[in-house]
Amino acid sequence: MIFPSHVSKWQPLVYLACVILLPAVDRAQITRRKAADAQALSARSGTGRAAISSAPRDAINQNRPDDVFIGDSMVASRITTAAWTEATGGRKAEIVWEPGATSARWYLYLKNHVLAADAKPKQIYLFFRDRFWSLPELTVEGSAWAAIERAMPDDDPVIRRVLGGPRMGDATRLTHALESLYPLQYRREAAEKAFTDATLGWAAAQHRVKRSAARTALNDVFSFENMRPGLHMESALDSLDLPVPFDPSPDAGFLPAVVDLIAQHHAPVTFVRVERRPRADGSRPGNENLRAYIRELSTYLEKHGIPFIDLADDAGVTIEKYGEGDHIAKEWRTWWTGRFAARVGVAPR
Amino acid sequence: MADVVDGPFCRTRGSRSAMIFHSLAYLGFFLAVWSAYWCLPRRGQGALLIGASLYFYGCVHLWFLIPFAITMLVDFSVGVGIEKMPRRKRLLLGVSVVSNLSLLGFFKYWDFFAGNFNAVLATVGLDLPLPLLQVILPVGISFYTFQSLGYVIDVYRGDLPACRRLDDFTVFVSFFPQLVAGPIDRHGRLLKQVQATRHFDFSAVPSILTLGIWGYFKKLVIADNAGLIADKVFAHAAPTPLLLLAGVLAFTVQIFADFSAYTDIARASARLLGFDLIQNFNHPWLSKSPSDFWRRWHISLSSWFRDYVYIPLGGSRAGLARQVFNILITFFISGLWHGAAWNFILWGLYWGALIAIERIWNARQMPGIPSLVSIPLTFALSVFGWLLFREHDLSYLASHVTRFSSAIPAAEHAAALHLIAQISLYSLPIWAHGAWDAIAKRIAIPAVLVFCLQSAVSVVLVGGIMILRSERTGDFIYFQF
Repeated sequence: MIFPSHVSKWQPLVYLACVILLPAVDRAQITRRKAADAQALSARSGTGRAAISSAPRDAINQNRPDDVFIGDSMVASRITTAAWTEATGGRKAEIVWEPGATSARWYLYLKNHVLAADAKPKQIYLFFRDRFWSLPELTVEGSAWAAIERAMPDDDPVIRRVLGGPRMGDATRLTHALESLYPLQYRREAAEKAFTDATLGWAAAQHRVKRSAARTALNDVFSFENMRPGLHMESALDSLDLPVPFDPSPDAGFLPAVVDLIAQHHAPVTFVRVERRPRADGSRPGNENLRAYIRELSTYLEKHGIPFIDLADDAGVTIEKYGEGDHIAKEWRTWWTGRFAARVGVAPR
Repeated sequence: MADVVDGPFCRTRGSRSAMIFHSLAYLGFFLAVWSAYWCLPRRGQGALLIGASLYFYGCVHLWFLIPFAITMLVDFSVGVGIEKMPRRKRLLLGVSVVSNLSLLGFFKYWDFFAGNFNAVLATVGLDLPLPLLQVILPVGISFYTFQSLGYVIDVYRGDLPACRRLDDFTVFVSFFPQLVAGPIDRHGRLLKQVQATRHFDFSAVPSILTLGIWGYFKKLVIADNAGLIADKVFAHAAPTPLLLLAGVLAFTVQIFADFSAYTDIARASARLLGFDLIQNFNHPWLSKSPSDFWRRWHISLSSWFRDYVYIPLGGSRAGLARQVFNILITFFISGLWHGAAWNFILWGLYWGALIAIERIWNARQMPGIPSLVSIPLTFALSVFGWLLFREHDLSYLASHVTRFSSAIPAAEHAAALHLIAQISLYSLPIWAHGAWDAIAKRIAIPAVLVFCLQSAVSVVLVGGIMILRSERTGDFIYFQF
């Protein structure tokens, strides 16, 4: 910015006082509002982190499923609870998932939702692709980090150990201190909503449609099925060209922590590696790096007595059954669920 | 598939967290450096800056210091050598050029050329692939190699004396505020400041901090929010024209806000340390022609290409056809500088073609275009350019840029319009900034009023950062170049 350079001695001090103090002026009012508005507290907790969500655990307690599926869109695009119930002669299922291949979240779902629920499922399936258990830093930024926080009541030592550093360390504490000093940020959600409502309302009025219709259209436009294959966050790191070593040390990923949890709780967990979209010639993506990795993973799970189902070479899941990327198309999900039920051979309820 | 080489420089290897400007780590680091810096004599300040800069850069990846040290040591030696052995100066210049371009070629262009070479071989049925190295591009390599190479060329030409002190030269090349994304400063400006005694001007604090806060606002509020929209649209498999327009407008806002934010924060950091870095942007959205755009956008790079590529090629001294050739070559290289991909080359050639057309237009003394038309027209041309820049998949571009359909539901249209409205609102502060600078240039505003405005704007911007900043933030876009 171009400003004339005349300033007197007191001006820098006044300037600093303004910039440091004025943004905190709103503090008292917001603090009162926070105290009065429990809803606001649940939307943003006092430490500035995303609020904890107990929804998956509540759903398990309420529905008391026989089988729980944990994962990301790979499980959500393959298993439907209705089809599972039908295929298994009445067994109830619950799917605990969010988009994005984040092994940190799978670990937290198992620990804080499934194993912490009062209702104990008969079987738990952990769905994953290829080497995502060894890519712990994948999909942990921004909204993905908020999703991790939602599943993490406290400062989880395993998350700290594996992801550690700036996310869980002093920098975060300093951020929280700053956020406490300047609680203006509690107005973020309201500001964002007002901003979105205003622009969406204006745009809807231009086309004489309701704002709700425009919002639905917006969600539909950016629905998962409309996205380009290969542009998800995990794609860059998931290139099979890159050698990813299988490393079972506790600092290298969340798999050892999951194995410990399974042992502690004697939990009936099965790891399920899903198949990937075949190439045009029908072959599946893969190379010696990947095969070596899967051999080591399989040996590791076997050593700990954990069942492992590898669906990667299931030739029956042909390319026409896929929707976008590695997701199964909507019309084939019931078929896929039935096929999986047959594969695992679960007993009817 | 070509072999992939594993090794210490490969992408799978871990790195420590980069110290980016909008991290608390950087603020803490800067505060520590700044506090110690003004307690030291000039030589001590230089030593502190070297240590701080190497730490700052080494935080990204320790091995990044290796190519950096090669550039610095070779170019320092070459500069001194040129003065000591003038008869061998051409050879020495060649050493510097080869050294810098080899580093760039290895880290930035190898996989691109190897990939294309392999594809060409494959089309003629030969299976002799060059290995793909998958090497991480050292952050800022394109910037510091150009800054250092510019120094060597200046010394070679006799425009400026060589720097005889390695510590001064190291500060010149490694100065952390501008190390990873410029601006690419010149020997004549920055090195002179390195060699001079610096004083902290307390009275400049309001203007410096306003510049820095404005930079943070542009990054955290404007660029990051616009980036969310751009990323969504460009991830869409089949965007409608209006949706694509929303996406490219979002990217236009994002890239300007992001890059100029980096420059502003770099300049503010430098000014707090007593340095005045070159201005890198001058309201490019108000450009009246393509060449005017490049006098306002990434000024340090475009002037580098003008001085070290375009003019040595013959510049505007030759006939019109040769001028057009020189322009196209310069912008071809400029496109390639931005990235090892065909879309960057296309983007460079697109701008080269626009400027060549402008040159021909002027040479034939065609009528001038009024500002009311030329500014929106140039803006529209730049927006199309950003489409080429943003999208790496040329077939995607080809299939969707021309995809017009009349059967788009009104609600879907409204959704796209909503994104355009959001982008327009996010860009308002940038337009307001342009208007303010235009007014401030024409009217003498009382100093007290300016101070009050400066304070008020800073408070509003800080509040804006707290309330409106995007949930997702990332590296500055130009880090990848």
